[in-house]
Amino acid sequence: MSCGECRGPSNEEGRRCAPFLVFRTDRHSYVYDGAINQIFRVTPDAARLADSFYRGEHGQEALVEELGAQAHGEAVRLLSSLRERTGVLTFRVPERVVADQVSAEDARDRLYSLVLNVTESCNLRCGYCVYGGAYPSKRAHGTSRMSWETAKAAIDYVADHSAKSTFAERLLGWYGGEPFLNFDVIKRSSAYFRERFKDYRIKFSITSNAVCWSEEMIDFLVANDVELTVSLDGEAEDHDAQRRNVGGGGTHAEVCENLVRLQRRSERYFRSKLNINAVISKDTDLARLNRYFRSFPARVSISTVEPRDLSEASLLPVRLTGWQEMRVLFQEGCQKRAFDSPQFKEMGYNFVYYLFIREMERIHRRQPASGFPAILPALGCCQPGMERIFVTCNGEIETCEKTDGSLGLRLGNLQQGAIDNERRTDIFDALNGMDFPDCRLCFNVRFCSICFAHALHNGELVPRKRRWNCDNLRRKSAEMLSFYCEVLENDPHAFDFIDEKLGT
Amino acid sequence: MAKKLEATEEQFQEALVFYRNAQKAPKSKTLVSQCDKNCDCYVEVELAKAAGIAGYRLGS
Repeated sequence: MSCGECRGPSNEEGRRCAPFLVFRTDRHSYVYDGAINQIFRVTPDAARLADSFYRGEHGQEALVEELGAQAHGEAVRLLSSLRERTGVLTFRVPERVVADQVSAEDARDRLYSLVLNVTESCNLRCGYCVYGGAYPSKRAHGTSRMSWETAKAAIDYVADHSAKSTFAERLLGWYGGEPFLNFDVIKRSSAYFRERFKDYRIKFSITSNAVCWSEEMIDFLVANDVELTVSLDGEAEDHDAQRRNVGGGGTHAEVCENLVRLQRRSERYFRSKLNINAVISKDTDLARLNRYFRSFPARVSISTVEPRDLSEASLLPVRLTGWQEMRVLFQEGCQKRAFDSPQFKEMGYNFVYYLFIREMERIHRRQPASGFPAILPALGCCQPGMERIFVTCNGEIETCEKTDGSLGLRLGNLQQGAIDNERRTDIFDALNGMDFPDCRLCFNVRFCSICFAHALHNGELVPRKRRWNCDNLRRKSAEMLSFYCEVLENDPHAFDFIDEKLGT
Repeated sequence: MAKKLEATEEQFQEALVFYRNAQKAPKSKTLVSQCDKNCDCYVEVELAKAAGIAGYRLGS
């Protein structure tokens, strides 16, 4: 589809697209150019003119009249100087943006990570669970459990296909259901994994609801330094509204009690290995979440609920308040140099740190470029089955837990003993086969983390689902670029702690 | 003679306040995988939504 307005193809809505973003803070205007991955502070007039300058249309009488001849001239002079000396706002787009498939030969024997879905059983019936029966492509709560034989076969499969991996660690994760309901397989698989990979650093991970923990389970977590993710949705009222046990009772008190037990067992473990995931499923005040988690001595991340369908109603957002308050608090933390050490958790900045740090780091680490290559590998896609596999209770090999149940992304099974490379090709072809002219003209292409899972709906890759996620990511990047600049306007050294972490 | 299209040095330097030179770019942590066990690509979208910037009305 060709855009009648710009020189490149347009997206489906015929929007004028270009791989740059004009944005502003309260004080200044900026241009971020994705082609060279640079941010420029420009005058408001230059910002107003950037789009037409990019398209060679800045001489239009209406624009001269709107800005006034002198201001228009100054803006053109600034943009021209910047273009001449840095290449900004030069028309150049990649010919294609593709999820780039590694050849079968190069993809072979590079596995280093395995996730075992050790049980489909769960002791909770959370209202928003994707396995609650409301998602057509997802299984409902089941009773299947992984046998030790299947777990062993999966570990053997990874061990037999990892010779070319240069990754220094070998990773084993347990997923469910509630994985601790099959603790026996967890214990046996951990021991066997260590045995098979005795020459490597081993890392374990588990996602648990923290409702059924015995003393032995806590011992196991601490003794094996298991990276632990626990869902805790904040205040009891918020948590118990969704996270209920089979009898319908809330679980907040039990989760908190078990976390206290864990913390008493090992403060070191608690602070270094625990990740809290707070799920937002209704209108939420971020300031309320912040009050709850601000001094919680563990990493806290937020997630929302996967839409059940792609109707307008399902894609309607929950309403959030408190965003501006969180921005102010994060900046305060930067200015107090709170993030120079882990003590920020005691200083009340725990929640905002994890709310912003990933994006701030990503922008701060941006690498300048001299333009786009003709074919830009992007989309944040992994190579399904190359480095990591997810194995179901029955031994099916999946791409990851996010694609669990999506037959179109299934890679094979342990009984057949091999990942079907044709399936990998089919997956890439399906994603690349969606017509994505937007990517070539998207300012966010260097920050994009879209992967196969973002396009999944009811087990299929669906353009509308992908577009919805693209729009979300673009909005996020625009907001985060503005916030990044605002923080540095207030304190040019605010992100020195990121440089120090990177050893520069 | 056409007027030379150059900005003032002050404007130009102001524009480059966040400019990164290739040689001075901070070193990235080495990523051996695009999608490792901490794969968070999905979480990032979730975070965006939670942060009120993913189709949500800011500050509403």
